[in-house]
Amino acid sequence: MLFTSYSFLFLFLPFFFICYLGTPRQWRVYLLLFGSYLFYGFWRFDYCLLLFTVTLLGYLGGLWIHSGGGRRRTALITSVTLLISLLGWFKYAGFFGESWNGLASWFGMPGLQIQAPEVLLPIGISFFTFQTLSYVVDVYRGREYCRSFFDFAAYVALFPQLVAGPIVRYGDVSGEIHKPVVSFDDLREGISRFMLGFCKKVWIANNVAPVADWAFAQSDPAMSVAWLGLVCYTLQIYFDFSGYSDMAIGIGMMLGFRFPENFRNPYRSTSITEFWQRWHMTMSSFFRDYLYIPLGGNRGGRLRTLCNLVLTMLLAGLWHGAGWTFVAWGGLHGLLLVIHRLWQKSRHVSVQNPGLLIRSGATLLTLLSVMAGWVLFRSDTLEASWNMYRGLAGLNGFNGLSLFFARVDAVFLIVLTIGILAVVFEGRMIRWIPSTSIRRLLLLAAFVSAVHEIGGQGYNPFLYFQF
Amino acid sequence: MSSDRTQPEAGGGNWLVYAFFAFVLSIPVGDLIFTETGTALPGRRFNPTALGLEWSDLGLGTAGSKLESYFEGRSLVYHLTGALYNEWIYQLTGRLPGLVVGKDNWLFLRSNVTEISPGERDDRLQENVLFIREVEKRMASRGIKLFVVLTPNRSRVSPERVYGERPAPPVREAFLPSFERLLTSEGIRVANLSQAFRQEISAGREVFFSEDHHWNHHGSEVAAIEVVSMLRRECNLDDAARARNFSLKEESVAGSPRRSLVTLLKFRKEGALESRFLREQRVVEFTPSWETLDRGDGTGAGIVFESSFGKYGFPQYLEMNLDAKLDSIVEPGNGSVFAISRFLAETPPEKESYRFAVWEIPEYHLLEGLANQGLGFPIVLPDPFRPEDQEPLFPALNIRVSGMSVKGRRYETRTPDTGMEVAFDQPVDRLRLRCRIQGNGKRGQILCEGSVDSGQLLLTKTENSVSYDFRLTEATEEVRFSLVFPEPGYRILDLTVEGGVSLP
Repeated sequence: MLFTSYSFLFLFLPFFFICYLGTPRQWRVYLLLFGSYLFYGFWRFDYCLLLFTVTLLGYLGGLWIHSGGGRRRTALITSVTLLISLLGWFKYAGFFGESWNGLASWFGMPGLQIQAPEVLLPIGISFFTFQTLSYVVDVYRGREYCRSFFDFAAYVALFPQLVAGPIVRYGDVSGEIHKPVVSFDDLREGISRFMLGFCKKVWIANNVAPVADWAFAQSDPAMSVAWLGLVCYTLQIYFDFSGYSDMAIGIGMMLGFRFPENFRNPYRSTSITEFWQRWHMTMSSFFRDYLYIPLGGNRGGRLRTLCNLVLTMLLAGLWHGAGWTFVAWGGLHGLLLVIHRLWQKSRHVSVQNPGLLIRSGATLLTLLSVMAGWVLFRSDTLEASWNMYRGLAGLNGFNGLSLFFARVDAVFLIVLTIGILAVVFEGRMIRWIPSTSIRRLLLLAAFVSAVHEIGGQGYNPFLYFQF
Repeated sequence: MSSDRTQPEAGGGNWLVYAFFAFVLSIPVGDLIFTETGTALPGRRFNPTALGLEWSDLGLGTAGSKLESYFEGRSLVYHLTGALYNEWIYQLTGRLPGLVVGKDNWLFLRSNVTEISPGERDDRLQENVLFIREVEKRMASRGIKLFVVLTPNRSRVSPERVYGERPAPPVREAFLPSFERLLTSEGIRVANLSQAFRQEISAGREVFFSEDHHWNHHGSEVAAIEVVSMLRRECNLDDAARARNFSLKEESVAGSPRRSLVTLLKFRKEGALESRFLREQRVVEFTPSWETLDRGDGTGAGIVFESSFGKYGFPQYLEMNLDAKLDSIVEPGNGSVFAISRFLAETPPEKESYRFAVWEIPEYHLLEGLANQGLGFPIVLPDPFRPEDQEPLFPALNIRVSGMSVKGRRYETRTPDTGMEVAFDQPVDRLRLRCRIQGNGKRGQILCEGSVDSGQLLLTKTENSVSYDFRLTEATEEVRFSLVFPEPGYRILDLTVEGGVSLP
């Protein structure tokens, strides 16, 4: 079920909330579990079985590790292997099969080709598998343990963040999951946050998306088209994903949970390292804590650190999607992190308080690097991304202005301007409106309009659903 | 450091919580009341639809779409707030309203229509006739002869495909002939396609797509021949236009507020309207100030107003049989009232224009009460696709696509016109194509070379699996499909093509 669908807004959300608020605290976890499975099953009910299997594996793994004595490590390895195998089958089996066939064909050995399995990718599998993995590892590290199966199942299936994050660790919600408390302040703040995310998605992301799609569909985009498309996609992916995160965090608050933040003005980062401290923060901290640090982090010398960085980013790329473009995207970010790390180590003059010009230059350079990565992220093939790079560099010609103007209208330009202003000014922009009541009133009006707007926008799933 | 996170606003603001819940609760509660009581919303006639939720819908993921469609036709969002929203957006930004208001859009939408009884029918027909008469007069003042083409419902000419062995609702046999009679008595030129379609079907030649209610290419051709014979009879076209530089506009994407309640309501009578925008629009003085309608270069011999997707071929066949170029304006799913009104508003009487205008009016656009005859029924597929008539289907050896990018099992269209070449390891004369399409509620078209069947690509929002069956006239190992989309950027998932051989 999409947060931006009428089924969710007008059927699931109000009726679930009435039931939730009317249920005694100690029973809310069961309602939460039931509601979450209903929410997930609205898409494909049979895949609830997969969700349940992952939950069961995580719970039993935690139980085994907790009571495992000397066999805790075996329990950990078994649990992690099983969970990764499930994820691997559903998400990567087709990709590896096709890659193998491509390799066999490349070497002229078609006899080695296999029937690539065709598996439908369950929505959100990367997110709920990672959450379960984090729990199993945290139990091994002695940080967490959940005795109640229902509490744990509710944590894994918690519907606000089930399909596209933020990646919530058990420790983030362990205090509330058993008996969630909803206060009026949380309700108000959660509703505001939900509406804000909804507007981000519907008004900005969905309005710039068609232009981005159109530009990336060009075989040889001219320079103006390529840049327009890339700017639009840069805005789209941010407002789409951060909008979803806002909605998830908002609904979490309405239910009495505090989910971790996922974004912190990422496009204003002054370095690529800082970007990853601000973009999809729950994922980057997951990779840091459960992959980069176990690999040795920065404790094994410079070369080892750099290798760990690149490997982590390659896997982060692969986590986003089963395709070589995602691997290349991860590789590019790994490379950028390596360059930044080397530059930091090698510079002799430390800039303690950089001036506005230097900070602006660093922000611009970081933003351009990130945008270069989005080309790989958005393109279907490496060849398509190469064509886009050629367009950006002006190698396909500059004259695309007529096409450019054919795609833009006043509403699009307003949305684009608001999107760019929101990226540049973020929280400060809200304070341009001095009265809190007027801010809330405007937010409500924007939300109600957005609800109507989705009626004309057709099917617009969140970008991160595919991961 | 600032944060993406909205900081809690200190104090007050409790009204926001109440307002939010009032909004999200009022819609479903209102919808339920309207649905269950059968109460008509302003401008809409209540039209009961069974929810039909089954356990299999949960597994197939179709439960959500069924629930949504159950409310869609009569939801408060779509009808009350939606109409206002469309108007505000238009007033504030000049942008054409986007909200789909209602599932269906009729030629003449009336307020407070709650049920159609036989006694009322003639009055309403008469009103429609008067409107068409008004259009005809205005066309005539511009030197244009108007020809009305009445398109029968599939249930009228081919009930066995629509209902199969299921009980059919009572057919209102008299409706179309009486409407035709009324038009003729007003001096309006009319072609009724019922007879021609019936003849074709009884001769074993299908005129509709195999799985829905639209004409296939043969149907378009039959309709075109019928219309051309009338045009030649009534209109001297011998010198029509070979001297002029004609252009064929296959499909108009005229930026009208399609499927908008506002669009249709504006033809209501003065005095019954609630808003400034609506007040300005009257039946006899419609002067819409929309952006310029793109209808080619406006130099064809005639102009065709169609109500369905332009690429099905009707104007092309019309052109071919007439041997003259035409322009065509299509308002998919909307009827042509809006397009015609704009055309008239933008074509001053003194301006040299077309010789004739063809206005195609589907039966189901005329009166809602008659519209649903058969529209809610899945079409009964032709017999040869029953399992007992053929060997089991087997998968294709190889699928090559054009106009699409391929990523794993996902195809993404890069152009509106795409193709697919499918190879089998033995000749086949039956084909079944299955896929899921990430759509937007629009429609495309699927054609198969050497097949007597063609279909409508249903680009639904729900990503349900769809399948298309084709019968080939000759068994072959290689088959070509053409898939026509409204625009690029559609994703096709889980595509499979299977072939089979008919039993002798």
